[in-house]
Amino acid sequence: MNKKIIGLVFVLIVIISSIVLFNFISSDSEDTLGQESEDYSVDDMMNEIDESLLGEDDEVEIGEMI
Amino acid sequence: MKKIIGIMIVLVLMTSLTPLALADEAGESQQGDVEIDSQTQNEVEAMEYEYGVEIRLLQLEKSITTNIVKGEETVSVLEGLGYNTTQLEAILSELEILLVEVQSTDANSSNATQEFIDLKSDAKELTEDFREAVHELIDNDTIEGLRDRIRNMTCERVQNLTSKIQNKIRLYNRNQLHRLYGIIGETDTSLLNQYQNGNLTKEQVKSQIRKMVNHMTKEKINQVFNEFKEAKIRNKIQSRICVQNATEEFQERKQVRLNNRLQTMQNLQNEDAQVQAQIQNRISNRIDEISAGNGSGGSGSGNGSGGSNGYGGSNGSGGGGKQ
Repeated sequence: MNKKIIGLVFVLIVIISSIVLFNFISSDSEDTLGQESEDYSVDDMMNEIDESLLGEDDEVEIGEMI
Repeated sequence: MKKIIGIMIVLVLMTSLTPLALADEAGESQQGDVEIDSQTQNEVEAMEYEYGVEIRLLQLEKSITTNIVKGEETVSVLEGLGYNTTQLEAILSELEILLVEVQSTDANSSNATQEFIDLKSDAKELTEDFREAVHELIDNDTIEGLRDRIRNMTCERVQNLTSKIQNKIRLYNRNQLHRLYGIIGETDTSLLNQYQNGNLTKEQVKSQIRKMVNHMTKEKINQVFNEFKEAKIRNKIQSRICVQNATEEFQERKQVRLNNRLQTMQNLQNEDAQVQAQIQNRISNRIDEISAGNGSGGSGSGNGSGGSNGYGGSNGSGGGGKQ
């Protein structure tokens, strides 16, 4: 009986670990794969440049007094 | 049999909780005893580059100064209407002390990022306290009238800060574009100089750069894009580390700041006795709350109270070097 329980628990642990590992690896590769194969347009480039610049009317928001 | 079912239930629960444990907390960083909002995290990213710290500190100074001006007008109107404004005046006095702390923060200090996060948190908290106190005092119609009255209020100090910030932002943007020039291999910086001197707008510079990019090959665009993106990711990671560091011992630093402010208030000679008592009461209550472990975390503000600002010692880890 005890051996059966231990065996069952062991199998479940292996299954859960596999699922977690698979999810982790697949989400990781999804993030990187898309970027490696992609060609970037002029607009992508300009967006990237724009994001690196600060707006001259940028403000630090601390909320309104009223 | 019961044992097996029990173990199965535990395992099923563990499985269903795993995605939650692995999920990213979008928009907020929480560690230790404080949450830093996503807006503050974005603001910190610019602080990793040259001029970024100065810009953020000046912007914070401008926001606090604007709120003080608006707060003073509010107090003056409410006083005229016969309301007791002691609490509002106490909050304004604390904002004044906070303003001095921001002005005294050393932008070159390694703790500058942490101090910005701390001070911004305090500014947000005091602004919220003021707003709540006003709402407790007057009805919605009077609030609307006051809101309209103070909406566009400004002063010479704020205008000076605005032009100072604009100049620093031009320097910051020039550096960013110069970095891009380095990657592209462009050596003629006359465009950047014109932008820095205010002879060209940001949009005009961007349109010129677009023309340059249009002439690039696809391979070159990919290479430049990847290099630019890589640097950005490195910067993002570094700024996240700074934010995480700032969350550590946040309440302890806050307690130090409040104690220092309490001391500063006690030394103030020209403050109304009632207002002074109110301030001391407010600060003492907050110190007690923190001591009891109930201090509100705020969202991305606080004060590193570094030695540079003259209000106490800094005890946290702050930003990294400038790129």
